Amino acid sequence: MFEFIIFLAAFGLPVAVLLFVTVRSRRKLVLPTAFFTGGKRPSPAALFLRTIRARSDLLFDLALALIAALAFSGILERPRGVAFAIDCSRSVISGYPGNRPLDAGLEAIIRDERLRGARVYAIGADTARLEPGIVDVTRFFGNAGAGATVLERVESAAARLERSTAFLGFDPNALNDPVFSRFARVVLVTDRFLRDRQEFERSGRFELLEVGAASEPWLYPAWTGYDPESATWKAAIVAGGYGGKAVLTEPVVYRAGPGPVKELRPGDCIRERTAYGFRLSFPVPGIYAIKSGTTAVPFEVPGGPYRPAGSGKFGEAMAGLFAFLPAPGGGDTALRFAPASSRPRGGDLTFEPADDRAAGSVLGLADPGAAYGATLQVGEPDRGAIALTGRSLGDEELPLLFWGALNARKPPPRDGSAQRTGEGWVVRGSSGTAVVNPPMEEYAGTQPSAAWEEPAGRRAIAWYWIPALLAAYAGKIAFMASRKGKKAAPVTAAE
Amino acid sequence: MISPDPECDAIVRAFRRRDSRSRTLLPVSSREPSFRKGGFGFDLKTIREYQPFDDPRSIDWKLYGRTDRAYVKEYFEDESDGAAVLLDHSASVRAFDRDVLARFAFSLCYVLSSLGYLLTVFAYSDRLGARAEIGRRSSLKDLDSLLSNAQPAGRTDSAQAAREARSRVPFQRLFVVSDFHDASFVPSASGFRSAYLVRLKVPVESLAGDAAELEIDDPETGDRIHVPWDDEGKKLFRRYDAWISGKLASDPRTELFVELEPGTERGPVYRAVADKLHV
Repeated sequence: MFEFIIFLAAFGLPVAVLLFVTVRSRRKLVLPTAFFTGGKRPSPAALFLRTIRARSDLLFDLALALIAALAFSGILERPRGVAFAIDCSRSVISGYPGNRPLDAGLEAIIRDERLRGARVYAIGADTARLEPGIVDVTRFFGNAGAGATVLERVESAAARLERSTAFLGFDPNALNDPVFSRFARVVLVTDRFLRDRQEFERSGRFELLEVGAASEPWLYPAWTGYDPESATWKAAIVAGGYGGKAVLTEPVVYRAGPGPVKELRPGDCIRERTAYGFRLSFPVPGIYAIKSGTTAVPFEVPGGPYRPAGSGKFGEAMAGLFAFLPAPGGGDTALRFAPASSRPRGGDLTFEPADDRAAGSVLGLADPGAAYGATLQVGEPDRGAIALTGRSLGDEELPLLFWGALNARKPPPRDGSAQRTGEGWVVRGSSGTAVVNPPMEEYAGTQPSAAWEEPAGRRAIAWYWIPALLAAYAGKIAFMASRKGKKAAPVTAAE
Repeated sequence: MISPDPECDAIVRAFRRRDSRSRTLLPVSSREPSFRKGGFGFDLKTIREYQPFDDPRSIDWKLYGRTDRAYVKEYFEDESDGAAVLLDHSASVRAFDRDVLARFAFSLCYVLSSLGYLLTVFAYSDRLGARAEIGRRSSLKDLDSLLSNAQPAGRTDSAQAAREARSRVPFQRLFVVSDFHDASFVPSASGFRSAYLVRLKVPVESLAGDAAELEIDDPETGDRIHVPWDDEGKKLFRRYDAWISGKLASDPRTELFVELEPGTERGPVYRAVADKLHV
């Protein structure tokens, strides 16, 4: 109710101001009303209607404000019903078909009595643009055929989900989307909830249904970079999962771009086993994929690193540290250090002053290969930052870290079409080719980057408010038009 | 005592030397009872030979017997030397300055009376009210009393007032001073042969100024309406206002139609009236 009053006050304020201005600028005249009513004495009803008509603009505006306040406050919409939200990330399709977390989750949904009348949503990414989103997949659970068993219904729903969804990452904050606001109960079906479960279920509106994570061997490109000593491009591929690197077979490496996919001969790619997986060396940068056993993953070995640029005093100083790097060519992407206060461009690394005491606790930079390419410094909880301390600036891997960070920020081509390649996707577009892999947390179960936040009360505007608003506005226009049409009426009446 | 506007005497002096334009020539027959009456109002204007368009009943048979030729006599119509003057005293004229209105009415009657017209003046609203008779060169004391004592009240019904006046006075001329907001008044339906209409106009647009809305208090009906004073509202008002004026001005019985706004010169109105009445 309070929200409704606030919205009504906000939307009604301009109407009140208009009314105030109109009343303030009203002038009283003692005259026969005949001059304004076409010579006829209006009936009391007509007088009332005429007074209403004089305020018709404001009345319609007030009605619009009321409708908008009702729509935005959602006062007439009580959350009801149940929604199932399926975590469609890479980790839920880990394992053998029929025995994956996804299958277990779908079975739990189908067996849940609350499914009747409930809506089911997939939280994943679309397969065309790989853009994260929420898709209503309730229809996947309804038409598996009469007499279908639970298993058949699970298989049908899973197959349709896999066709329509790119299983990449998962952010539970998608549950804050207004689409879920109209449900009294939201059941999140996931394999493993890496956040605080109690915090998640504290409001009583969210329910967690963990079906348990599966583990299978996986490969992940931890970092890539140029090695000036050997004049080759290198990639560190981390192996993990059930059995870890022990189950790895001799890898097969493909060149996936530019150009058609082809298997590389041993001479085109040097493969080395390391403590964490493989280290690969390539004579040229490009898009590659590695396959070992039943798992495969694409990765990009970008050209460079090239000499970065910088803006501002500190940014220029930072760029100066990398003066030994070659200048970027015409089509190459260069790193640019920009102050956080400036408007960042694509590929910018922004920086801001940090507390010296906090920075003092940073001992140095972790080996990006050992840290799966995700954590760049040791001892700091803020994983998005690259700590610049005396020791880190002296680290010979620093250019690679920055280079890796830059490439992590490079968005895939906006007009591209995505093609599944192993665990990841290769997106080809007019601006080039890019690789999109699931985030590291989908494999290693590391602390997720996004923490759970309680929904801030955002509501979905019910669809019927839109035609209601349109109808009110059309009514206003029609009324004004009809009033215009009657301008000749008084003379005719008098005649 | 109300005094006439200063320019009235000059107008009277100028027009007194001129003949009355509208002293209607009335061919009459000797059988016409009214022409058996003697008196001031039956001055013989001319005797002329009978023309094919004349009414055969108008032939003076005595002359025909003496001359063996058909003549008709033309007389000045008695009624042509007078006028009924209706002064709107309905509540709606409160919109005008009462003293100015009284002075205008007094001046108009002064000019007419000074030019030799008999006047019967009525204050009216929805029916005739106080009356004042003004003879040639007689005192305007009764008129002064009428104008000083009449209080604007009641509703306007100019058509009803004109009909009543027609039944009470013999004159063929009708002068009406009103705001004419009642659209029912039609000069040609009043029964008078000629109508001289002075429309009192309220400068609504200048009074409204830059107001976005008008609150109209009708002094006659007590109605109160709110009118959006936007372009559409102004257009509606102008249209009705122009229709009223056009209807009155274009009536075949209307000899003169003038609009008088507060603050405008009244002399031209008196002059126009006198000019219409004289050649």
